[in-house]
Amino acid sequence: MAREGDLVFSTVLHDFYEHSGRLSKEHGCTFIKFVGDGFLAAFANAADGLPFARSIQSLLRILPSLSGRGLGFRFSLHFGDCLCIETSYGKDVFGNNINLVAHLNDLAQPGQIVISQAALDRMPAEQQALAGPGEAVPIKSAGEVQIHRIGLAAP
Amino acid sequence: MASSDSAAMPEVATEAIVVVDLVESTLTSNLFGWYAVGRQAIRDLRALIGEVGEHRGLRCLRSTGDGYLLTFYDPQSAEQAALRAVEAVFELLNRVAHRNREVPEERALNLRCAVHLGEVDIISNDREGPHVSLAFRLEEISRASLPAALNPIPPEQFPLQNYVLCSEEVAGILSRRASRWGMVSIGLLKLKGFPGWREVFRVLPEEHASDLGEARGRPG
Repeated sequence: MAREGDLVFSTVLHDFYEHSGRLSKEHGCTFIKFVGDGFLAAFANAADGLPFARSIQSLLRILPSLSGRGLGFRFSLHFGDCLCIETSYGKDVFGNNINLVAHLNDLAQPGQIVISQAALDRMPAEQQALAGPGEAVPIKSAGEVQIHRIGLAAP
Repeated sequence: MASSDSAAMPEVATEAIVVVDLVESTLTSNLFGWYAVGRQAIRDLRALIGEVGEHRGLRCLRSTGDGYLLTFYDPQSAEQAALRAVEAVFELLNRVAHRNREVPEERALNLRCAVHLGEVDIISNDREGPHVSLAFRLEEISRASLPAALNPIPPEQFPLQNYVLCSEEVAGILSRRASRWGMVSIGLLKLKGFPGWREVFRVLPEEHASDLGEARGRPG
């Protein structure tokens, strides 16, 4: 995308922000923070994470500005406590679980969601059935974490 | 000051990379004049760096316009080079604070410092490579970067100037070596050109180590 210039990149980001924000509301997201070309989203219910990720993934197919550019989304989902407070720049979430889910994101392939065991345990059976086998991965400052992968490629 | 490479220096070496930036130096020079204030400030900074680096393995001292790129080398231990670099940076901040008390406000030096450790290509009195770029990315982090961070510290805990940031690599060394400096994670950030999230740490001066360092996660 760097070859296409800043204006194209700006359009892609604008569409991504706008539609991600809309979808976050539709999927019961309680908090979303955009960080560069990604976001951090929080849900009260772990079951909402996967449908939300699927809807974001579908943007690559639906939105003209995103499709055909070889773009891919990497997702990670974790369940745990975090602190949500109002800061000088708006709401933000804090805690070791935020670090963990960010590091999990580095493990995902494009079009894939990496799910921690803690999150998988709280997902409905039909979502659990989609998960790949468990893998134990070392995560900085969290030790060994059991993860599962689900491919999100559009049908 | 040993700022040039010896002939025996390998072409690639693991060095501690330090980026020191003068905060608002362009603004100060525009307000008070480069010849009247700016030039002397950068020269004073260079002299102070030379003093603090002389016995700590300073190998490269290169101007970046409004600051300096430094590297520290230890032939026995790369980790030791990182410790020496952090020690030198805090000594530099001490000396700068002392100098600032004796000069008018417009001549004060205020710094942002970043320390990283990694393999660098040795160029005559210069260094190249991705680890050098990463050190510059660290130096660019300021309080204004916190909204783009995951799990950031509260903004009021991030000073506007005269602080030291370090990479996960350096934080790990400081932690393993039970150094006298505390550390506090300022959050996870995406650094331009580098994949994934990177945890960035603020190294605390000795007198503040117990205040903030225990409050948040140290490197694992």
